[in-house]
Amino acid sequence: MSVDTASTLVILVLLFPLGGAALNGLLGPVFGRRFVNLIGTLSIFASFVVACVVLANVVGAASGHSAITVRLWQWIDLGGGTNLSVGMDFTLDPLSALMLMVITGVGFLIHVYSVGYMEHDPGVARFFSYMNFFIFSMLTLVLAADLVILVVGWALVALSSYLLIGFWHDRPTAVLAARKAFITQVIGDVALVIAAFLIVLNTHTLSLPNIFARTQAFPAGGALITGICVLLAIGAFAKSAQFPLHTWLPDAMEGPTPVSALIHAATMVTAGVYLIARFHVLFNLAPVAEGLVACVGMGTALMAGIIALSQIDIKRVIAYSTMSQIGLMIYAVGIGAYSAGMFHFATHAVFKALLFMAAGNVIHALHDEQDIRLMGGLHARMKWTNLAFAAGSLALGGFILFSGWFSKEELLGFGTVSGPGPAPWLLYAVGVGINVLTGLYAFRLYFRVFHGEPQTARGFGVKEPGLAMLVPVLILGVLAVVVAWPLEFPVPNTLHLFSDFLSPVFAGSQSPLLHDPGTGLALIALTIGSVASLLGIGLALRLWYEHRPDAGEVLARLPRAIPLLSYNKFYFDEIYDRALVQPVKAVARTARRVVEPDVMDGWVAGIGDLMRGFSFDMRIIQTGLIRDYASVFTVFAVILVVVWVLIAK
Amino acid sequence: MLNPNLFPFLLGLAAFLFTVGATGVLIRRNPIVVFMCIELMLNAANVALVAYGRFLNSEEGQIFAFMVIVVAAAEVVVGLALITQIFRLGRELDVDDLSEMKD
Repeated sequence: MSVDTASTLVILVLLFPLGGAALNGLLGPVFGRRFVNLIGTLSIFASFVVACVVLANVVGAASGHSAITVRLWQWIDLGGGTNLSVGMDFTLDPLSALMLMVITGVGFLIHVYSVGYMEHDPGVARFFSYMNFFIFSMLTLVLAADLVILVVGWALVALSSYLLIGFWHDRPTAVLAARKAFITQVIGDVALVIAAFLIVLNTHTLSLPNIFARTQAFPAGGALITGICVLLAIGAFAKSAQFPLHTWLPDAMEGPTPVSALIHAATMVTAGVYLIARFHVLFNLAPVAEGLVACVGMGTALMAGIIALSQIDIKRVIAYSTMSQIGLMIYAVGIGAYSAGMFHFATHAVFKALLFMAAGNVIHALHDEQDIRLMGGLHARMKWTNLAFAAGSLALGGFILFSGWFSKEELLGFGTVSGPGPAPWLLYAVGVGINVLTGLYAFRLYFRVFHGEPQTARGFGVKEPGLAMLVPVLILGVLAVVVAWPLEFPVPNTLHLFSDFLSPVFAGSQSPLLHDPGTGLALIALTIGSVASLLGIGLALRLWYEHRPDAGEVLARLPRAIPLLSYNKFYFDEIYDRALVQPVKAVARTARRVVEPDVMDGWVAGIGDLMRGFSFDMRIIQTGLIRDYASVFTVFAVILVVVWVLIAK
Repeated sequence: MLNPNLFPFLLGLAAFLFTVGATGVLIRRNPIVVFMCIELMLNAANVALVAYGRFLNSEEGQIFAFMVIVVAAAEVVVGLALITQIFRLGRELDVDDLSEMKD
């Protein structure tokens, strides 16, 4: 693909969503709902078509030429002998092409779904404007070939996320959730920017390809590169809702459901995975940071899986499951299995968007009811949604031959051979445990929502939603089953279309933690993982479908602490509240009660008092007698003359 | 050409006149006398200016003296007008009594 073609494609793929955002934002309120729906979905569809052309070009490129970086124009010349310039640089390579496909493809379906979901919302123009703008931001982030552009995209997705979580800004909880998400992500932004500064200081360039070509600036395993990678990882953790910066994601479910599907499941929250994959050249020089990333990812996956088991809000269950699945992706890129991580990203984007949108159908049908204790028995009345949700749950739970099974087993297969010592084995064992957990929570949700008896009168009167909401769900439902079939099989030396496609990106540098598991070990891991997933799903079937034994009885036999910890999300919100929020509030209160009246007002009033006292004193010399003034004048004139004469001498 | 030895005497005369005038301004209470004393101070300055001009062989001193005379004339016009107005208000002619601006 030539530079001109690439530039045109980049401009087009970015311009469509941006233009859609501008049109919807500026003209949407004038032209009304039909215009907004049309522009909002068509702009993303156009972008999707361009993304397909990009994919075709990248696939069709000669071997070794699949990556191309174009400079649209130079944005800022930093000059001053630094030789630094910020360019509108964008990369088209297999990794960005994959991201483009997922973002615009899944994004388009979610936009179509939004047409139905926001049918009665008066703010639909604003909604589509924000959604299109999010797609633009996310595309900027994944296409960026310049550190500054990357950071700009990184910040813009946080902004769109903030705007969309707080879309219903008359709800105090939504506003608070938006603020929480934004502030948490800013912590990651700061870490990312510091890492960027360190990188630029040592490589003297802002262009990503140049940075990756100049890694000799960093001694392998040194403190500098480890620090940079840890900072990058913190940025990724904040964006991808990983421990300890994970608390914003469940609250972000306050936003409209399409937003949860698009931003907080399919695309933005996986930006952290993308970031680590994009910076894999640096991470491969810092095994300590990679180990940390792997541990945090697996730890978060476990924690979120446990929490998901006992949440009662349908969207929060899926949110914690997202957190858990992203934890697995982060684990995969941590151990250097980048293709496996990105593969799970792709399948997860499909089945998690599906689950959110199907959940949206349920919420819609039950008139904004989100408590799963008040659901049940929907399978008879919402057949299609039920089927789609079941497909999504099977994919999530890792049922054999569903898309999630391929990607999850692939990344766990690499887990069996990652790095030296017992720690990787421990992580792998946790991963197998998470397979059980995933099956459990996925099917707890499915059985409680769609099976059993309706718990409220409304449950008997539910209907399937309109076509705009049903068709995207069904398309994703089919994709959730078949998307992985032609792409990848989690055993070496079999079908590896997906990782072969990505291999040019990751070929240059390999993680010291990554090893080839070999066919035998991969088969064993595949068996263990599949059995674990089936075990989880089977257990869920016993507990929540057949009620032999009933989940309540099992719960009663467990120590009280476990369900309490799970239900209360390990008390992270409370801990952060005590440790961070309350001290800050206490400082603010002290400032208001003591510092402001006594100190701040004190010195302002003090200056006033001082001036008044001084002027009282000065009034004495105003006698009103002309001769007094003349005397003073004379005396000072004499003094002036004397002093002048003395100085002149 | 004047005798250069005369210069200190001329300056001394100017200083004497100036001191007399300044003292008068400070101690007298009749505004007319105060004005006369101010005139005395101005003319003391004139003497000094003319003396310097003469001894430095420059016309500037004399020119400046004329300036001072003009200013003094203008000042007397304003001053006497004020005094006349004060008198017409039936006030006593005493500068210590003129202190309304204080309050």
